Amino acid sequence: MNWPPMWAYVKIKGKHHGFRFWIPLFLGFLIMLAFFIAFLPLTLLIILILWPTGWGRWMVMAIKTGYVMLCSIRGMKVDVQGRHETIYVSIV
Amino acid sequence: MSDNKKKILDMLAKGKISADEAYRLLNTIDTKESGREETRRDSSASRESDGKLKGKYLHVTITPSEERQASEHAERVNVRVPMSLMRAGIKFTSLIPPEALDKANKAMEEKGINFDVRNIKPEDLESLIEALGDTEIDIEGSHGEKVKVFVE
Repeated sequence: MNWPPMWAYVKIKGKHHGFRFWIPLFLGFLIMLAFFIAFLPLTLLIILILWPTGWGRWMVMAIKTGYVMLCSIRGMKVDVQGRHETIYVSIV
Repeated sequence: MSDNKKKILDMLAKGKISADEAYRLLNTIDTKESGREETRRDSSASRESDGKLKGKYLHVTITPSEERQASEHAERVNVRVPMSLMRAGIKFTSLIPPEALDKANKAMEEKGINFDVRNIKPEDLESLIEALGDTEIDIEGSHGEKVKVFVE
């Protein structure tokens, strides 16, 4: 099973100063999961109501695709060096 | 000449085996060796094709000219995007409502592009992504900066 990315490493370096830090993405996902579980009965009800119109299936596909996209972000790296600043973002 | 073949020829020379037996043994060795060679070639080919088909990341790099590379203030860009994100993005396009596709077709028609977006199938886009594994783009700008796009 694919898991969403757990951490993001951000490094910003300016002309005179710079800083780097790790962002715990897994905490955000835990909060999202809590909201998802809380709203799951309502979501299922909406899907069931909209199923005959075709929009219910669309909602299920959208949720699934959104999750797959989120999991696919892992491994992304962006490294931009300007004249006086450097930005580096890595998703692990 | 392999050791096994030498041994067979030695045994033939010493009269331990007949010419027929030596011929059969040599043929057996040849068959085994060619079979092993094909298996090795096949596995390396599939590894190569797997590597191409399953290229993991799309890289986009912009490097400055050689004169500016030594400078601390040279501008550089290095972006690595997972290919799985592109595949997931393609699946997202299947969620576009038909009305939006009609609008896109109409807008393209007004610009003189007679192309139906609905004709694009996920299998075609998957083939396109696989072909990206063989694609390498190298551009050199007027000031010597280099842009490279490749899949690894």
